[in-house]
Amino acid sequence: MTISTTRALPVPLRRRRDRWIWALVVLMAVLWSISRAGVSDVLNQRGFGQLSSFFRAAIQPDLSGDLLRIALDESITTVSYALLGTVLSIGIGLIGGIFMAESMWSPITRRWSPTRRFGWRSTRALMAIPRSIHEVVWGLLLINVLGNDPWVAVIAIGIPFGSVTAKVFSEFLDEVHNDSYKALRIGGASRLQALLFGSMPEASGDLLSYGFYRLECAIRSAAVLGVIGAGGLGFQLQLSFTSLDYNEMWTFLYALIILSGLADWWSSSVRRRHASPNSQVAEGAGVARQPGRDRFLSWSAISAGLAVPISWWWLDLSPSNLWSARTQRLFSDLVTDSFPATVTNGFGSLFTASVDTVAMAVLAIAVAFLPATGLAFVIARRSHGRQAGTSVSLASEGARFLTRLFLLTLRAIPPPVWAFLTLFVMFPGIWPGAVALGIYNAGVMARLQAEVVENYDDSKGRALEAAGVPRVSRIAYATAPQLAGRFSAIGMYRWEVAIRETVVVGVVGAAGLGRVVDEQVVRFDYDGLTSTLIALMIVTIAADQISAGLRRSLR
Amino acid sequence: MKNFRRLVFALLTLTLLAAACGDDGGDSASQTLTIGAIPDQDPDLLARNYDLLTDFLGEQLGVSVEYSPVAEYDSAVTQFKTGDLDLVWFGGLTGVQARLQVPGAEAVAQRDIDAEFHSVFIARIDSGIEPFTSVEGLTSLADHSFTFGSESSTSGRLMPQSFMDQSGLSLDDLSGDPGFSGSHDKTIQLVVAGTYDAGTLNEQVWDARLAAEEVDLTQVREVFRTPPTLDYHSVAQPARDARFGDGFQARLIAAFESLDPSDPDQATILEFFSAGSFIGTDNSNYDQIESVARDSGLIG
Repeated sequence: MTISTTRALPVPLRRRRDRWIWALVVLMAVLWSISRAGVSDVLNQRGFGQLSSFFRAAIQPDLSGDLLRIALDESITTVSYALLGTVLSIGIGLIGGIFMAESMWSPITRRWSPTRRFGWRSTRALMAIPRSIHEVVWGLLLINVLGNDPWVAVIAIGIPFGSVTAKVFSEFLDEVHNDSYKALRIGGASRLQALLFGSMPEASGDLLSYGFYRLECAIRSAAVLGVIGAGGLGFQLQLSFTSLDYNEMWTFLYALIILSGLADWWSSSVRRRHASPNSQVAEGAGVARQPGRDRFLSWSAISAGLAVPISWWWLDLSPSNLWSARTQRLFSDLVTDSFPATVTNGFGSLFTASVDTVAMAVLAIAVAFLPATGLAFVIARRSHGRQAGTSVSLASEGARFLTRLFLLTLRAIPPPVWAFLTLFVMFPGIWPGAVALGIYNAGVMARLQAEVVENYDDSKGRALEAAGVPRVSRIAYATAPQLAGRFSAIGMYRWEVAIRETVVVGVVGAAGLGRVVDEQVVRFDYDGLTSTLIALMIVTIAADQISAGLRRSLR
Repeated sequence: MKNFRRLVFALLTLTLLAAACGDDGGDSASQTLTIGAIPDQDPDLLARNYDLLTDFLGEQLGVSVEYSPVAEYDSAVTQFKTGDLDLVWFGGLTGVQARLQVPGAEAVAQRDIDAEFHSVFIARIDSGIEPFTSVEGLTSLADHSFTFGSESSTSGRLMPQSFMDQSGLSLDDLSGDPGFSGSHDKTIQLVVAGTYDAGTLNEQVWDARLAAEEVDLTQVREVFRTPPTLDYHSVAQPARDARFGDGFQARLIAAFESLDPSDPDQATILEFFSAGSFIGTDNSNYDQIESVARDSGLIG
């Protein structure tokens, strides 16, 4: 088998076969997960009353003056954590991204040498480790080193997000692997110079726009981090959650919904304008604007920039705490406590828990995928798919708004809260965890899918429409194949995320690594925790590879 | 786009400069006594109404006192270990864990009711578990699903588990693995919901929720109250005397003991802790809890 014979094959056909194999693999994975979770004794119908009393409290949030003041203060704290965490992650992403970029390692003329390929691969693998650990676990480790310090939340968000950002930024850099890069290289510039002055200027705009997306994710993470005592809305939510004061909980949940809503709006506006700075599609402004100037983008950058020192001041961050004598002592204590790693209940149970974790994440995405896809179409703003002159009815506009609000609520309520609510109506095990993560991820997925719907190029569909092809056939032959790939890629991406998130839904009972982590944390069994985290890393990195393979075949 | 990028880099640089020039003043010489409490019952009330307690202690001790709320049992222990909390209201188990992690730390005070503390076992009425009066009766939980409260709770996990052991009921005899609901209130609600047939919790929380008529008694009932055990106490960092002056330990205990229910503010403080009064205590009182915790692997 040589390269030339492979080339001779009809490429589209081969890719299509790939897709069918992958579809089969996914189907098998879902069926296997269902059998693992079991199908008998899943639903507990007696608990619906308890569940509804939580949602009934939504119309009566506690609006007493004191609580509102707390909610306002803590909202600022949550935003500050999210913002500074994101800035840190962009810093890490910028540097990490350069070293992870293929163009940093690939030779410009000759073939890859084994050492170079190994260097590139191992850098990528190394950079995958920080993102395989959930923010809450980072927070837990950091609190042992830094104590009760606002840096804990900032770094707990910054490290894993930085690792994700580095990966994404390296892809941006490689995508703009352009003439100026090549010209600089041929002209004798080093790889680093060529990347910095050739590819970076173009890729940095993309990085910034991506940074706004991470800010939106960081708000949600900051809320979950409250659980470990990092302050902010999540912390207050946790206090009210412990005594199950639903009315108080809703006050903080509404604050979270508002913050997430604003962050989502800001992030998607920035990204839409960054993608097409001059078109102004949504606003319908007919005036041609000068390229390179978009007031909204400048305004966004200025506000984000100004908010950074304000957040710094609000949190009262003190850099000297990062390397104080106490920090050094506590860090060496933690290292001593955590190594050598031991396996608390034997490799068998660690393996079982890892397998349960994978099954839980597969089911979570399986549960979320179809509803999310349906709702994505409801909320997507398809301005150019619509015929000119068709006005949008008030009813459909209202439906879209309500659906957006509904999805916002799904993703603003932290997964540990969903897990507990699910436990009212399902018996403990894999299912309630999967459903809780599914509900939360449906909220995130629908939003990402809606953006795909908004941005895809519908020229094929319109051509068919012009030829008089009926709508169903148009969707089957033009729209669906195009979108299915992108949607599946989003599903795979959320599957990886869901694996990490299983650590925060340990409350659902005897299933998965989340339960193991919980028990080891309360025993201060850090040797054992190390092995559990290694297991989690292996599972996450394996998932990352599988999902990368699938996404390649979908491209 | 170009302007946009330039602007951003300028702002980022500015920020970094501002950060570098930020005040680096250490707080090693702080004279603030930072106190905390495990989030055992109504942590929201305590966390949001701590002024009374800090004012009272500040006045009695002549130092500034700060309350730092905590959302999880284990993070209270961790923050005691890192030295962020000087004085913590712990449960029996977390107190022992904290003292093991901080050599020289001492139990300072407990409530009048803590020497006589009980846990309650509750069960669904339709589960077939009938009320019983002796520890041996716990064997009737066999083949039923069951939930504890928080993993680190003394009254919601450690002591009930120890009584189950005494009765000869192993956790493997239960139907499925035991759950950990996360708090006493969550235990009640999950048993009411029918997710678990039975559960166990702190008697104070159970009595308080009964009095407030917040429990659906058509679904659950109390089936057993355990014999008395020792539970909550406050634990203080070593070397306080050096930081706050000689005899600080004695003054701290005296301050707790002086809490007077006839003073309305102090009565509210006692109410937060559900205490009639506070009494001094010492480490040896918790040897039993320590050995039980060792037996069940909760401390290494």
